[in-house]
Amino acid sequence: MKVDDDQGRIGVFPSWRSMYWTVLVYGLVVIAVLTILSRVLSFGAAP
Amino acid sequence: MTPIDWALFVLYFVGVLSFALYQSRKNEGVEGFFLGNRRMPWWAIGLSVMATQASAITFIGTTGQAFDDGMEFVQFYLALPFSMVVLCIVFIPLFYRAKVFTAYEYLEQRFDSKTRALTGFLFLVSRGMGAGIILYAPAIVLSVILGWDERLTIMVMAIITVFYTMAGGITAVIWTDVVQMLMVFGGIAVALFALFSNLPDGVGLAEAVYVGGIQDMWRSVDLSWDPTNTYTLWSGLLGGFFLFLAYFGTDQSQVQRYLTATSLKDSRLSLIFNAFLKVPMQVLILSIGVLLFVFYHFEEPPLVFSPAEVAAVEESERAAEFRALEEEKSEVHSLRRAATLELLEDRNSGLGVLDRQRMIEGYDSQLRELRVDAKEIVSEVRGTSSNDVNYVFPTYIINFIPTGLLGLLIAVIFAAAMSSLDSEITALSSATVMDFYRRWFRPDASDGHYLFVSRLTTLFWGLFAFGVALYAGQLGSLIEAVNQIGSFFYGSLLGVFLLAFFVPKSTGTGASVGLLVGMASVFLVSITTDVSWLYYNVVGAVVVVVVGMVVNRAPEGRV
Repeated sequence: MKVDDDQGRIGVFPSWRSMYWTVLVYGLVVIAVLTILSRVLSFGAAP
Repeated sequence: MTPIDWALFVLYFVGVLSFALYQSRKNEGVEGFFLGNRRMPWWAIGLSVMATQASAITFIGTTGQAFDDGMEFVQFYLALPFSMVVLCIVFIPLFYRAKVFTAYEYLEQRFDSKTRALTGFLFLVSRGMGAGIILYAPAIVLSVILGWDERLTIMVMAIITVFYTMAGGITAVIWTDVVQMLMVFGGIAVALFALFSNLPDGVGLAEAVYVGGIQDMWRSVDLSWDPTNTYTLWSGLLGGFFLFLAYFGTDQSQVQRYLTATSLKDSRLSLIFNAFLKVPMQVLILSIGVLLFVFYHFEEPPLVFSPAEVAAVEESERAAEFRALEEEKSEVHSLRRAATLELLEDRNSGLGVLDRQRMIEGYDSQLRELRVDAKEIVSEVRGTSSNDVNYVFPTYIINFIPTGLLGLLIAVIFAAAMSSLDSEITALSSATVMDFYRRWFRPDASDGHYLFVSRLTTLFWGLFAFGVALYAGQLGSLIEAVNQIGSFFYGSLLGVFLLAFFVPKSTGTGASVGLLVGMASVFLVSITTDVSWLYYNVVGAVVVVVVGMVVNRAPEGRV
């Protein structure tokens, strides 16, 4: 499937493809950050 | 509420109404009414998309949910960025280039008229109900804060929203959504600021985070594989991915938004905007709930937050039993408060920290059990499940928010509700007029006639939502109720669109049969298994695609 048929820059992104990859990486980073915070901010005494 | 609060509250309504009517002055005909003459900027659409999804239910229900269960609800939104990319690549270009008014109109271009009618009908049924629940949520708040009758509140909200939606159509809706969404952002900041201000001296951000962490309230990711649990990472990623594809890709209340853009690029940008902002916003809203949990370590919380539920129990034979639970709650709270303050004083020295943490955990468990017991009494007395979770944040607002900010926060809750309701009724109206009235009854009428009918159907759906709202009090946690209603239809609707996009040989008959079998499958799964409702979307979509493909392969005349 053709991903990008609107040519040209999208703001700071050179193409739609790079924009989509940024969103996907952002989604993964959010999950990673929340997973780490879940562990770091757990102070319970129970095992 | 003081005069200042009232002034802010009234100012909000006057401001929103004036702004909506001013912005919609250039609307022309029915395309102007439903699509804003396709000239809306992407950032306004993006905020409107966000406002449509973030109703008052989001603000009230999720803070209450976080108060009881912590941050785990955020997992529900983690698939959203991934869904947005698929929507931008596949869904938006097809809708945009088809020059349709509604998502279901596209299905007639691709399949046939009966598929359009069936999907349009399902949308009207499910979202008509949803609009009623959206209207009901802020009525709860005002019934608590202002002592107003819930029905009166519902009526006032419905009249104002229907008025500006009828007058200005989608343009008024999108521009009011922009204002309302900015107010919601402001409201989140105010609520967080007020919560920190109300903590005792010596308890700051670090201490609040620590106290919440003792009970694991900040835990936002659950990696366990349990399909019966709605709030795990896997439920969120798999079920949420399908739910968001369905919601943003097949629900007219969202599709209509990005069809108003000036270009395909702007349509896409409006969703990308949401892909970046939605999860952080939800984290902040849930943090309010967790901070409320921390706050009530230092201030005695009610056992049950809903005044109506407490009043019902106190007038019943179970009153003595309930009062005994309240007394026990006061004792346990005093012990927890003392232990928490001592822990915060001593935690830097490290002496006795683990013992104190265990004590606090024990008190927390006791208080949770007392709250569960109290809610059981409420349920037995009233004959319906308790929806106390929706009163947690409003109760805090009434008792602890200073003058001026109270009026602002009430306006925010109104804003959140109205920005979702206006989108729903304009979407319901567009589907009614375009998919049914113009398609089946009056295909050749004038533009002015359709505009008149569009305003009339907007009024009708406002009244319908009002009727549903009157009975919404019988439902439990509102946020889950709305999502559950959607889940019975959404997955199957998504399946029809997936057939249209990805199976070139699929037909209208295959799609319609698939849709009905898909919905029956979801119903079957819901009554025979404990699988979380988030997976219903996956089941519905997969069944529709498979059945649609099988029907297409059947010899002609057999189906």
